Amino acid sequence: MGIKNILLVIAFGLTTIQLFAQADSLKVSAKYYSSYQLGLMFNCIACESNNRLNISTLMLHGVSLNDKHVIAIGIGREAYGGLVSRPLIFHLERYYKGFTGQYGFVIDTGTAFIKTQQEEWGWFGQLERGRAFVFHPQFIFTSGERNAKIQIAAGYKFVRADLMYNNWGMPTWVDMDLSRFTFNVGLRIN
Amino acid sequence: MKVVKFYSNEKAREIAKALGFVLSILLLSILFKSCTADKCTVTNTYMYYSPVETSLTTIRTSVIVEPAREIESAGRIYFKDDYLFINEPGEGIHIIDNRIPESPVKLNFLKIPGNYDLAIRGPFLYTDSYMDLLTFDVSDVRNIRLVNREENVLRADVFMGFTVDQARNMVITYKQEQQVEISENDCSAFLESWGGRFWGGGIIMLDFAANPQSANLNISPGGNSTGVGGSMARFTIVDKYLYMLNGSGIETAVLDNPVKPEIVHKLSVGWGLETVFPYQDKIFIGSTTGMHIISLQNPASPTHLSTYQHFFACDPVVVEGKYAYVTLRTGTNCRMANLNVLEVIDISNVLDPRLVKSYPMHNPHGLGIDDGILFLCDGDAGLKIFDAKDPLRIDKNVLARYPDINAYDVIPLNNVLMMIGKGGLYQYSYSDPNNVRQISHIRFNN
Repeated sequence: MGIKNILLVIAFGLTTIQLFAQADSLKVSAKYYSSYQLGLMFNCIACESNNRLNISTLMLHGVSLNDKHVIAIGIGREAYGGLVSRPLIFHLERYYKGFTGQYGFVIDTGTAFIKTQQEEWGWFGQLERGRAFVFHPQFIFTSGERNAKIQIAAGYKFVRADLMYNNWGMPTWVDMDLSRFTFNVGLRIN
Repeated sequence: MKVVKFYSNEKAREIAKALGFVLSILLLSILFKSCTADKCTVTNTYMYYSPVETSLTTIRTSVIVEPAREIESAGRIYFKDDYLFINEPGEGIHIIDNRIPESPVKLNFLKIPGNYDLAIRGPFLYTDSYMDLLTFDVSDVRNIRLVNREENVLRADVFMGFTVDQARNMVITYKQEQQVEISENDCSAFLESWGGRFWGGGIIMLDFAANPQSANLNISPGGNSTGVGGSMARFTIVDKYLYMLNGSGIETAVLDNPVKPEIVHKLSVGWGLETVFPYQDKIFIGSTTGMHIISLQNPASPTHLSTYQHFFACDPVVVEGKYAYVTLRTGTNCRMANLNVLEVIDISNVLDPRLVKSYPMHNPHGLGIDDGILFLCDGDAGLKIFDAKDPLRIDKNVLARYPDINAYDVIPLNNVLMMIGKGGLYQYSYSDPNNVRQISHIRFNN
C-alpha cells in the first residue's frame, strides 16, 4: 500500500468521522432501504498506462434510520480485467440536509472474494484463493421527491487483495493494491 | 401553458454542488494519477534445476551390491519369481524376498547411479544407468553380478533428466532446488486476460523419469520367463525383445544373446511418452497427450497403429480383453489439464480406439487389472477396487474402498495385491475381492 494511498484513505476516513460526528442527535424512524448501483471504476484517465476502465454493480438492502442516516449490507460484482471481485459490503450513509437536501457522504467497506475470469492456466498459474478488503468512500447525490430516487455518486475505491496462485504445484502469493476513482448511478428505494 | 418547475433555485444549487463533487473526482483522477497506480507485490516460489556434474568414470565404477537399507522413495517395482525389485529413482534397486508375502524380507540394495527402470527375463535383469544399459545376473539374488554394460545406447537429453558432455567425460544431472523471489509490478500480469506460463529462472524440465510418484504399475504379461512390472517404467520385455521408451520413441533391443542386448530398431512416436504396457501382440504407450497402440507383429520392428488423444495429463494405461483403462490426473507435471478421471477405451478396433465411458476420480495414479477386477490408486482418496466386467457400470460396481491410505501404484498378481503408497509397500490378499485384507507392510522413510 503506497504512502499516497494511505494518505488518501486517512483523509477520507477523517472527513467521514467528522461528518458523522456532526450528525444531529439520532431520531430513529426506520424504513426499509435498498439501492441498485451500476458504476465505472477507472485509473488515471489521462495516462498512457494504468488507464483501466472497469464496471461494478452493487445491490444494497438495509434501513434508513431517519432522514439522514442509512445502514445497509449488500453484495456486488466488480471486474478488474482478468479478475472478478464479489464484495460483501457494509454501507453507511450520512446526509446533510435530509433526503430532500440530497447530498451526503457514504462509506462502503467489506470483504471480497476474488476469482479469475480465465478458469484454466494463467500467467502465474491457477488462482486457488483470493480474498480482499474493500474501502470505498463516496460523495453521493440523490434526486427525486418520492420513495424511489435516482442517485449518483463519486468516490475512491481501495482494494487490498491477497491472492494465492498454484504455479505447477508451487505457491505464488500476490499482495495486490488496487485503487480506482469511481462514478456510480443507481436507483434507491426508501 | 403551465411550465412545470421541477426544482427550486435552491435545489438547483444543490445539484450544482453535487455535480461539482463529481467533477472534482474526475479532476482528482488526473491530478493524482499516481494515487491510482495499481501495485502488486509478488512472492513467487518456483523450482529450478541446477546442474550437477559427475564423471563417467565415477558413475561406471559405482555399481555395487550393498546390504539392505531403508527405502527413501519408490519408483518402479517389478515382481519375478517371488522376489520384489523396487527401484529407488536415480539410486538403484532394492531386492526383497517375497516368498512369504506375509513377511517380506529386505535382502540387499543394488546401487546403480542414474537408475530408473528395470525389466527381467530369465536370470537376467536389464536396467539403465543414465545412458548405459546394464545386464545383471540375478539367478542368485544374494550374489548379483554385473555381466554386461552397453555404453551410450540410451538417450541422453534434458527430457530424460540428464545430459552427457562427452568431451569432458561428464554426466550432467539436474538437482531440484527451490527459490523464493519477491518482486513488484503494476499488476498487469494478473489483471489482463491472457494465458501463459511464468518459468522463472534456471532450467525447467518435465522430468517424468525422475518423479518417484509417477510410477504406475500393472501386470506385464511378457511371457513365462519375464516378471510383472510397472507400465510407467519405460522398459518392458515381450518374448526375446526389450522395448525401451526414450521420451519420444521406442528403442527395440533383441535378447538373442541375453547377456548383451542389441538395439535393432528405433521408432519415433511423439513427445511425452511415459508408460508402456504389453498385451498380446501389441504394446500400449501412455503419453501426456494420448494412448498410442503399437503393433508387434514384427517384434523386431514395431509399427504405430493408432493414437487415442486426450488433454495434456499423466496417463498410465492397462489393458484386458477389448478394453484399455486409462487414468488421467492432475499432478505436478500434468497441470495443463484440470481433470482426474478413469477412462475406458474400446480397443476392439485397434486402428480406431474409442472412448466408452469416463468416470470422475479424485487423483488417480497407478492401476492394475486382474480377471475383471480393477485396482485403482486414487491418491489421497486411497485404493479403490471395482468389478470392471461391465465397463459402463464400473462406478456402480465398487467392491471395496480403502480411503485411509495414500496409494499410487499396484501390482495385482495371484490374489496378492502389491501396492506402493506414501506409507510404504503394502500387500493385500484379494482372494475374496469383497474382503481384501492387509497381509504385510514395509515402511518407507518418505
